[in-house]
Formats: sequence, C-alpha cells, structure tokens
Amino acid sequence: MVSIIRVYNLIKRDLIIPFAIPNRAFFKNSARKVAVWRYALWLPLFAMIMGILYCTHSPMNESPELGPVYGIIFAIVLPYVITREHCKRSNREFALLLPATATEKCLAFAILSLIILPLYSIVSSCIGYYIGMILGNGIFKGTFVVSYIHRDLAVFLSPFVISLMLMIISLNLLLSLLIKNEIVQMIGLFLVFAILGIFPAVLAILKDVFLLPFLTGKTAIYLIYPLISTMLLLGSYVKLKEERA
Amino acid sequence: MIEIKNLDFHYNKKHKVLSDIDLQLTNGRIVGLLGKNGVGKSTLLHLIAGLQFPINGSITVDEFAPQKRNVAFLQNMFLLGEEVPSTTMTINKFVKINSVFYPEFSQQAFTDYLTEFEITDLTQSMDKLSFGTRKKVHIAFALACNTKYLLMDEPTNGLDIPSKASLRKLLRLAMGDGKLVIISTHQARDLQNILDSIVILDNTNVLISADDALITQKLYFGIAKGDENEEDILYREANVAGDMIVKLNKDGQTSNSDVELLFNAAFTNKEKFKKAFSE
Repeated sequence: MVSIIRVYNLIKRDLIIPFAIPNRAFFKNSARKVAVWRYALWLPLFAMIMGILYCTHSPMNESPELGPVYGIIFAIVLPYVITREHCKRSNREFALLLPATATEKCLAFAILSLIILPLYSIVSSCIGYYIGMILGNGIFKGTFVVSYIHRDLAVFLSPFVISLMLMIISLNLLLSLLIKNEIVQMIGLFLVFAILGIFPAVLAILKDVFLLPFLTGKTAIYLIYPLISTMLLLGSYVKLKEERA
Repeated sequence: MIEIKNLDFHYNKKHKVLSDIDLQLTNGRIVGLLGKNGVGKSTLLHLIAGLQFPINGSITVDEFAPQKRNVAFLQNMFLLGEEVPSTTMTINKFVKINSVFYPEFSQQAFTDYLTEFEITDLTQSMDKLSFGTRKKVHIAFALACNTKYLLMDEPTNGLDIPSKASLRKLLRLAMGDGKLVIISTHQARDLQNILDSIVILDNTNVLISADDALITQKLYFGIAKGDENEEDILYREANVAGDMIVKLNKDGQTSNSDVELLFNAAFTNKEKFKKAFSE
C-alpha cells in the first residue's frame, strides 16, 4: 500500500536533500557505489548532446566553437558541487533506512528525477553554454557577444530537448539497475545516443517507405519519446520491485 | 528480539568479514559490541539494520527480515552511524523533515535531550556545527525517535567528557523495557556502567556474548592480593593501586565488571576465557 503522505514527505525531504540522482545505491543493498563520478560524466554527456543539437538545430552565423567545450567543463563542476555533499556515504545510508516502502521511494525518485535532474541539467548546461559562448567569442573575436542568448535558451527549453532528456533520464535509471558495471552502463548510453542520433533519419525512412504520414518530428516529441520514457520507467519499477523482494 | 543464525558476510570473497555467526539479543538491555579494528562490528550493525544483506544465514528482528526493509521494521529501527550526515539545513529543519518518518518521535524529548547536551539554538545550520555538536544533534534525534531498536556505531567518538556523561544519562533515561540498544565502541570505559550485556567479536566470529551478571559470576575483577592461584588469572594490568586482575571466579566472589579488563582478558587468554563461559 502506497502512502501518499510518505511519498510527499520523501519528495519534500529530497527536494531539500537531493539524493534523487540516478544512483543504484539509493535503493540497493550496499551504499558502496559512489555516484559522483557517474553523475559528473552523465551531465557532460548531456551537455554534449545539447551541443550537437545546438549546432544542428540552431546554426548560428557567428559560431562559438568553444561554447560546447566550456559547457561541458562547467557541467562537470556544477553537478559535482551540488551533489558532493549528498553523495556522502553517511547521507545515503540515512536515506536508505528511512521508513518508506520501495514503491514509495521509487515514486518519489521518479518524480524527483523528472524535476530536479532536468532542472540541474538545464541550469548547468545553459550557464555553461553562455559562459562558453561569451568566452569563445571573446577569445576568437575580441567581443563579448550575448545577443543570441534568447535563441540558445529556446533550444534548451524546446519540447524536443525536454522530451529527449526525460527519455535519457529514464534510460539511465533502467541501465543503472540492469547493468552493474558502470563502464558498460556508459557504453550502453553511448550506443543509445548513437541510435537516437539516427532516429530522425529512421523516422524519415519509415515515413517515405511505409507511407506513414503521422510519423513526424512532433509525433516523436509528444508521443514516441514520452511513450518510451514511460516504458523505461515502468521497466525500472519492475526491476526495483524484483530486487527488493 | 534479534536472532542471528549461521550468518556469513564478506565484501570480497577472499576476505570473510563475518562467518557462521550465531547470536540472540533480547530486548530490555543495552548491549556493548566490542572487537578489534576491522573485525566486523559496524558491518554487523549494518546487517541488523538492513543496510547490508547476509551472504548466508539469516537475521530476524522480531518477525522481520531486515533486508526487506519493511516500513514497520524501519519505523522501529534507527542506526546512528559513526559518521553523521552534514547538511546545510538548520537543526529545526533537519528534525522537521526527518521526524515525520518516525511515528514515535517526540519533539519535547528531542528538545530536552539537546538541552542536556547544552544545545539550545535550534536555528543553527548543521554544516556550521562542529563534528561533536552535530553528533549530539543526531544522538538526540536518534533517541527522540523512540524506536524499539537503536544501533549506535561509536557514539562517543567526537564527544567531550561532559557529553559522554550526558550520553550515559540519556541512554538510561530513554531506555524502556521493550527496547534494545546495541552500541559498537572502542571506548569501552566511556560506557562502562550502562552496558547490560557484552558481545565481543573476534576474527569473523563471536568470542563471547554474555550478560553482566553472568560475567561477574564467571569472572572476578579486582586488585591482586597476592594469594591468587596464577592458573586462574586471565589478565593482569599494573595500576597505581596495585595489579588489576581478571581471574576465574571459583569462590563466587562479588565484583564489578570492567569492560576494558574483560576485553583484554578475552584476547590474552582466549581458550581459558571461552572455556569459562562454555561451562
């Protein structure tokens, strides 16, 4: 039986103490796995995708080549600073033993990971990119251009990026539960990124070859990606329940 | 009651931490868990709390298997680790967001315990507190949660001398009939007079598990008079008042146990020691 009050309290608590990072130690037996390094790798990867999307979806006349690089560096530092305290063993142990069921922790986790992590990601990536753009322009052109920030923000906050990001978060959660070796997890993530990269092309082929007119970019954003995210989250939930039995 | 049967645990297959442990701990007492460094005291506490899972064997706490982490079990179990979490929250905020998970938590008791530790300003940020003060806040919180089972890992580490006395007082005060407190410690003397039972771990197994009454029935602690049979003496330690000894209590003499002497006696004369308690 799920107690809504406990879920609420968990969310309330973890909004203040964000344990809600994709970390199997949050649920698992031993709290030996430290999530910092994975989180510090995860966000730069995210930033890299953002950078690719940025270049492919928002070509700029004045291209700040170093923007993504600074974005990536910044995206390593910020989440590390934010999560450093919360990844300490004592904090995780304390959270693990909080009286709530696995389902309640899963629910709280899912809600949190769909709010906090995207927020961290967007904020850290945005700030990183802005710094990158400003510095990149400053170094290459001697001018600190900030005029196209609003365009950049539009890319970060576009439904496509958010939809994609939610899918990556849920995928990361499932991968972290299915694969113990974190190196293999990262390889898995890379592979999925590669598949995602060709996904629009696959859509185009399906649309043309099989004459499926409903397969558009909007379908992907509002239907296919959220559907995949839901399935991944459901898969994670089932896996977690199994592990706790 | 906590019942441990044939418990095996290791982090690494080559190095066993606990092997074939059998232990029964009944409620209504404060148990001292002693052992040398790395012997598995903290691991045993983690296993009882459900933070680690047994490799073989079982642990039962009342009707619960700790590794399942049932809510009803977790609501009655509090593990106070050696390291205490530090957050940027104030003491008030920390208590507010965590106490809701423990139905028996008493705000009044928490405030009283903090007052005993001479902490009155609850608006202080936890990360600005010294390690010792933060530990006192966590101890007060752990006690105020009123859980049936309280596991404490080195609770006196970082506490000043008056606070150690306060801790002893609070433990006695918070102790109810149905409760069981297990304290893992190296500072045996700090908790000398409040332990009802002693468990000593030695190289993956239990060397002794006995109540204080049984210990003083089997062993005599005191100053050597010179007429003792050397064969009966398990441990001797020079002291300003004379030699402190632990000897087999064949004459049924009364004495007060000394945890540190007991620990040294157990490791100096293991076989005699084991034999004394197996008879």
